[in-house]
Amino acid sequence: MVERSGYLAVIASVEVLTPTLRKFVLAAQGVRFPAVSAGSHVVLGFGSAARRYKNAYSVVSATPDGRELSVIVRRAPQSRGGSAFLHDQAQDGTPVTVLSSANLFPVSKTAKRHLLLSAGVGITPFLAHARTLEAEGADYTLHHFCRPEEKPAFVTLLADLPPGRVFIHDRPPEDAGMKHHMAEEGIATHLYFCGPEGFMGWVEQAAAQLGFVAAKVHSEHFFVPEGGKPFTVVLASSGQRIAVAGDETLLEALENAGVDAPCMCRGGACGACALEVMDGVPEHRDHVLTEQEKTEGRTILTCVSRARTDTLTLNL
Amino acid sequence: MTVQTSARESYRPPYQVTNSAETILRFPFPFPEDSYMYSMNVEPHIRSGPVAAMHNTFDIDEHYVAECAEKARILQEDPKRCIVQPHMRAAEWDFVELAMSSLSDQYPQHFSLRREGQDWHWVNRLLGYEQSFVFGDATTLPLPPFEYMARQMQGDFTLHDQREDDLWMDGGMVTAQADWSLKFDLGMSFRQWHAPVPKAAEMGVFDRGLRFLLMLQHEKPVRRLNWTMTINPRLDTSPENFMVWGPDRASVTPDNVADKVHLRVELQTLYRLPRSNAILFSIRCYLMPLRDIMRVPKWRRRLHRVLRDLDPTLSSYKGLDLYRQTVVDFLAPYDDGAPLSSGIQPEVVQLEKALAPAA
Amino acid sequence: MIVSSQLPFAPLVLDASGVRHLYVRDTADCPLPDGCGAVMPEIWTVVSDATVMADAREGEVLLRSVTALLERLAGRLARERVGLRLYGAGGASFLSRVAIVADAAGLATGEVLLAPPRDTARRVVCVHCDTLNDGVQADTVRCLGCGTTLFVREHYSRGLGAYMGVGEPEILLQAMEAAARHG
Repeated sequence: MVERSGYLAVIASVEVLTPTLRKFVLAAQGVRFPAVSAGSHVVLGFGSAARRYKNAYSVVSATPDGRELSVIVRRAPQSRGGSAFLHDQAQDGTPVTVLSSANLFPVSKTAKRHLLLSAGVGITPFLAHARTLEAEGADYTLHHFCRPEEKPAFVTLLADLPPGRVFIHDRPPEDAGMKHHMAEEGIATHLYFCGPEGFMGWVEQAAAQLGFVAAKVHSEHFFVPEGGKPFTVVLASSGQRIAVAGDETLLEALENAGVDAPCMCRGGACGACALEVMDGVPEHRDHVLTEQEKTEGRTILTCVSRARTDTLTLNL
Repeated sequence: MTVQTSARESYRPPYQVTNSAETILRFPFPFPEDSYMYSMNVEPHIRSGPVAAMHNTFDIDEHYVAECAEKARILQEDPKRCIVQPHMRAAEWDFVELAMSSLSDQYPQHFSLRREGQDWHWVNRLLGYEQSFVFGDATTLPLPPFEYMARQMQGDFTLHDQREDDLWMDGGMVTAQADWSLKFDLGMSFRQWHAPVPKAAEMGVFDRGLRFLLMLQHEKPVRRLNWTMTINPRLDTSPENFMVWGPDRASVTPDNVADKVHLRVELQTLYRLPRSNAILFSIRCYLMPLRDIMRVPKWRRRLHRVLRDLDPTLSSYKGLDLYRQTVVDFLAPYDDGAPLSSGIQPEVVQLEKALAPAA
Repeated sequence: MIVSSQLPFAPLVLDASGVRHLYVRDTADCPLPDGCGAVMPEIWTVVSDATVMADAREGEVLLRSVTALLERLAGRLARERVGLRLYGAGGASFLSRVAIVADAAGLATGEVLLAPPRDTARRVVCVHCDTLNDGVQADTVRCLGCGTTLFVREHYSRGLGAYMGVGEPEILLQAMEAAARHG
C-alpha cells in the first residue's frame, strides 16, 4: 500500500530516558517540516517491508527552521508492534514519514494562568507547552508525577525550565498534597492534565470537587490502540469484506485495503474517523462518543474500536 | 492573469471599474443549480476547479493594484477595520508565512521571497515594496505582521482562535464586507457572529459547519462560495458606511440595471494555521455587473431562475427587495427556459457580444 | 445549536458544583437564586443611596451605585480562588456590565449565571460613530453622537456590552413604504 504523501525524515538520534521511554529526534529529508503548535501530535509512518505502522505521538519539541522535531515514545505493554519496533529496531538513519499533524490539546490562549499536571509519559505534550508558555512569559506551573526510580530522568528532561515553574513528584498526587495546591489556584486558572487512566480519574474528581468548570478543564486521553479478537468488516456500498487481524486496528485494515477512510488523531480522541454502523455490535474504546451513543451502537471510531460480533457492516 | 500595475479604477463615486473578457470567464459564479438555499457547499481548496479564480491559494487578478489602493484608503479613513487581539500574535506570523510563500510560489513574476533561516526578504513588484525582516520579530516590519501582509492582498481576512469547541473571531482586516462589522463582531464565537443570518440555524447548517471546521487540518484548506448583490462596483459595503452606500439600493431602474446591479461573490477559503492552531478565513470578493454576466448564456439564464425563485427571507436578509424584481424583469427575456448543466463552469470559451450600452 | 449572540440568560438556581457563591443585583427587588437555604450566597445589592455604608448589614453588602458595585466586583474577582459561582440579576444594562467585569477577570462559561433581565432597556452602540446609547427602550434611537436614527439589530456584542444600531437612509425607508403600499 502506498502511504499518503507526507514529509520524509530519518531518525537522527535516539535517547534512552527510562527503560520504557525513548526520545527520537527526526530530521527532515528534503522538504522541511511545517511549523507545529504546542500540544500537537504527528502521525508517523514507519516499519519494515513486512509491516507498516501509523502511530500518533505528541511533539515534544521542534526547531523553528523545520529541520527537526522530537517525539517521546513509551514502549506499550500491549503494543501492536509500533512502539516495540521503535524501541527495538529503530536507530539512527531509520526512515520515518511524518504523515500529518493536528493539535487536539492546545492551551487556552486567553487564559491568565495555566496549571499543567502530568504523570508518566503524559509529560510529552507539556514539554512543548511549558517551553512555549515560558517563551511567551505566560504564568504557569507544571507538576509531574512519576515513580521514584524515574525521577532523575524527568529532572534531566525538564532541566531547562525554571525551578519555580516545575515540580517533579515521586509520590502520587494525593500524597503530594496536589488537591490543596489546586484549591489555592485563582479563579482564572485553566487546568490541563495527561497521564495514565488512574491519574486522569484522580485529577478529574479533584477538579470537580474544587469547583473547576468544564470550560477550564482540559485533558488529553491519548493512548495506543490495542489489538483484540479478529473480525471481518463489510462495506455496505460495495459489499467488500475486509479481515481485521488481531494485531491491527479497524482503521489500519481499511487503509491497507485501499479504502479512503477519514481519520485524524488515531487515538480515539478527536472523532474524525467516526463511521455509521449498519450491522453488528461495536466494542467501543474511545473517549469521544457519549455513553448513550455507545449503547446505541450506531457509530464507531475506527482508529481504536473493534467489534464484539464476527462481522461489522459499515456505511462506507 | 494579467495584472494592471497602476490603479486607474475607482471603487467609489465616480465609479470606474471594467472587467476584461478573461476576468469575466474566470468569475466564480455562485450557482451550481437553478435554485439556491443555504448549504455547507464546502469542498477541498485544491489548485483546480471549474473556474480559474479557484486555481491559486490566494487569487490575484487584474484589479489587484486598485483593490489594494482602495483598501489602504478605507484603513486610513477607519483604522478599526483592522484589529488583532494580542493572543493572536503567532497566528499573525502564520498568516505572513502562508501568504508570502504561496504568492511567491504561484506568482513568481509578481512576488518573491528569500528565506535564510529567520531572515526573510520579501518583494512585491506590483506595489513596489521590498522588505528585509526577521521572521517572528515584529519590530523588523513597518507595520504589525498581519496588517503588513493583509494590505498586500485582495479580499478580507479574519483570524479565529479555537477554544471551548468553538471558533472565536479574534482578529481581522475587513474592508470589503457584505454588511457586517469587524469591530462589532470581534471576540465573538462562531455561534454568536452568525446570529443575524436567518434560516440557516434551523437548518442545522451551522452545527455541521462548525463541527467540520473544528477538525480542519493543516495543509488541507477548504473553500465555499457565498453571494449577495451590490449596487455599483463598491467594495466597502460595510454597516459602518451604510448611510453612505445604502441609498444606492433605491437607485435601480430598468435603464441602469445592467450597469448598476452587481453579483457579489465571496470565494471563502479556510486554513488551519500551524504555529497558532488558529483558523484563517479568507473572503475574496468578486463584483460582476449584470452587463458582464449577460455575456455568458448559462450564467444569465441561471441567475434569472435563482433570483426569480429566491426565498423571500433570504432576499430581505441580503437587502435585495427594492430591486430584485427589476433585475428579474430585465433577465427574463434572455432566459429561454432551456435545461442548464449543473455546476458553475461557464460552458463557453468565448463571451457573447456585449449588450448595447444603456441610452 | 443556539445561534444567538445574546447573553445566556436563565432563571437563577444555586449551582451545587460551586464551592462559594456570590450574588450581585442592581435592586433589592431581585429574588435570591432558587436552592438557597442550607447554602447561602454572599449578596451584594445596589441601593442607590449616598448614605449607605458597605458591609453595614450581616451577610449582605450594600452599595451606593452600579458603578460602585462593579468596581468592587472587579477587585474581588482579581483575588478570588477557583470554585466561585457568580450570579447576576437586574436590568439588561447591569447584566451586560457584570458580564464584562467577569470576562475581564477570566471567568468562563459555567462560572457566570445571569437571570433574565428585569427590563427591556438596552445599550445600543452606533456602528457609524461608535457612540454608546444607554437605556434604549424602543427599536429605534436617535444616536447621541451623530444624530442618526438607529434601528436596533438583534445582534449583541458581549465584549461591547451592547446591541448594534444601524441607520436606515431616508430614501430607503420611503421606497420600502411605497413598495409595501403597492405590494
